[in-house]
Amino acid sequence: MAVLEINGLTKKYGKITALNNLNLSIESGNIYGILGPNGSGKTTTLGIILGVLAQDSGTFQWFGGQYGQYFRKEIGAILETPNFYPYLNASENLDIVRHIKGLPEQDFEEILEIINLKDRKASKFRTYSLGMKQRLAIGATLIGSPQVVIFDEPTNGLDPEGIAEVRNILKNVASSGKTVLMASHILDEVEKVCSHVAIIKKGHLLATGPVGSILSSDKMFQINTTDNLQLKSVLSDIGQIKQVNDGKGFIECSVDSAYEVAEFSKLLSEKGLIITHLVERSNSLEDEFLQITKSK
Amino acid sequence: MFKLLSLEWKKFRKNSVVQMLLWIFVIFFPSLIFIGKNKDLFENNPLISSADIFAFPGVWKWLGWDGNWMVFFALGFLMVYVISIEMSYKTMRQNIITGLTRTEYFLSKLYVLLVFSLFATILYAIVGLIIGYVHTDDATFSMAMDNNWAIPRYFLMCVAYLSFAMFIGFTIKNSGLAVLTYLAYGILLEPMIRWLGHSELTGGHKSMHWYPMNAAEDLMPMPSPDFLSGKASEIFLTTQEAVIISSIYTILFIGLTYYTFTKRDM
Repeated sequence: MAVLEINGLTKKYGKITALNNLNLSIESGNIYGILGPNGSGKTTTLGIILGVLAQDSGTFQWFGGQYGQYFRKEIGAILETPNFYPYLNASENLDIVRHIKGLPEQDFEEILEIINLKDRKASKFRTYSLGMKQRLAIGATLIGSPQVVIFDEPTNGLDPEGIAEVRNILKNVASSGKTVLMASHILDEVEKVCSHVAIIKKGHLLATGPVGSILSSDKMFQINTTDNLQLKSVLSDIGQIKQVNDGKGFIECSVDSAYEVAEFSKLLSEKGLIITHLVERSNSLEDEFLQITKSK
Repeated sequence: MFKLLSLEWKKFRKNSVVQMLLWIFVIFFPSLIFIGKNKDLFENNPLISSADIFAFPGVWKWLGWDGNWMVFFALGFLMVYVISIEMSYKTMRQNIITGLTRTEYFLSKLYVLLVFSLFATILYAIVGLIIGYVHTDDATFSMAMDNNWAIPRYFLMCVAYLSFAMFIGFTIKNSGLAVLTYLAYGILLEPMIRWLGHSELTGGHKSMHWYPMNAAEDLMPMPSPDFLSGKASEIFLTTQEAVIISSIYTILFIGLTYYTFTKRDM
């Protein structure tokens, strides 16, 4: 079942098109990473589907429309920075979220345990470090155990320890069966946490699908020969080779996963090329991301 | 309604600025009128006697004028603050993301406006009755209530000031600037527009008094001695005019706030 259907969303800020005819369908139970460089339209997309920004055209629908304008009560979400009342403590801030969601009173012990803020629950929000603020924001999304949680750049600006801590929490949330939507420009994060990925750039959706399928569709050869000029012309004649890039001290090409390295090296020898370096490795999301965003 | 009001209570009961402004209002509003006890000012003063200030019906005018200042400064400041600070903290946006509809959010602030106005009016009525009864010989309830609708007028004055404050709070996104704009408009800008602009251009046409802060102010105008009342009618709006003009501005500010708030990006 689709939790969220996005059809043709477009948003302009003056002359700048932040989002251009975006279509996306989020299935229940998936961990979706929305990946794109800064300024690609990730936050704009989240802002629109959460109702704080108005789109110029296009539609979106949550939960098949069954909750009407109250759909946000079924979602736990943070957008950009953690936003809380600085003069209230963790419990008081969480209680405001609970109150808005119309849930019965609770002590939040379980949530404070998950986000590791139990010891500081009575301290005012303004005294928290950025990592603690971010963790509290994640905790706030878990109140009432919503079907869907949305995170926007959850590790932005954190130190390595903070990043590790937040990622662990995210992994736990992701494995709890919720539908998760996470915007990030950090590939590693998406690769480690998400099951699906949508790549956007300049407001366009470039690719979407399971992380596995995007990863396994191609692999990568790193190659160096005594005559790279001839190598390039040979490579351009091989049908299984999709893209050729200059790497540092070698040439990098993405290759159809069925194409074997033995077959490849045999062909090059037949063409009289002397190989000095040849490595086969699986394509990381980062390579995929760079290729997709570069080529379109 | 109760749910939205208790949400506001949870948000602001521990806010030190809110606490301070409420204390200022509750302490200064009933005590400011006692400047009237100052012997240097009022003993042997041919225009105003201390008795006029504290006895019925004069107490309603003087306490109303005192409240006029206090509501504009303390409660108006407070109203701008509780709206604009949520924009600075971005908690307004987070409240929406968490689940409030924009209409609900708007209503929560409108209810705060009404509660402040009701609270200020009840305080006005209680303090007015106590001071009046203490200072009037043989006071009766009908004497106390012979005050030209002072209590509902006072309520309308509160609503009029606070609806302008609400409009400013929702319109100006920086809380410091919002408070400053509210105070500067009421104290400086509107009088300047009226007396230096409008008055000059229209040759002193009475429409120069049809401005929102002036109309709200004239609901509880500065008390003037009787022999000045002819003169006063030239600078002050009549009660009826003040009621009509303030009501129009109130509806305008509240309507405009709702319209823009439900449409705009946050």
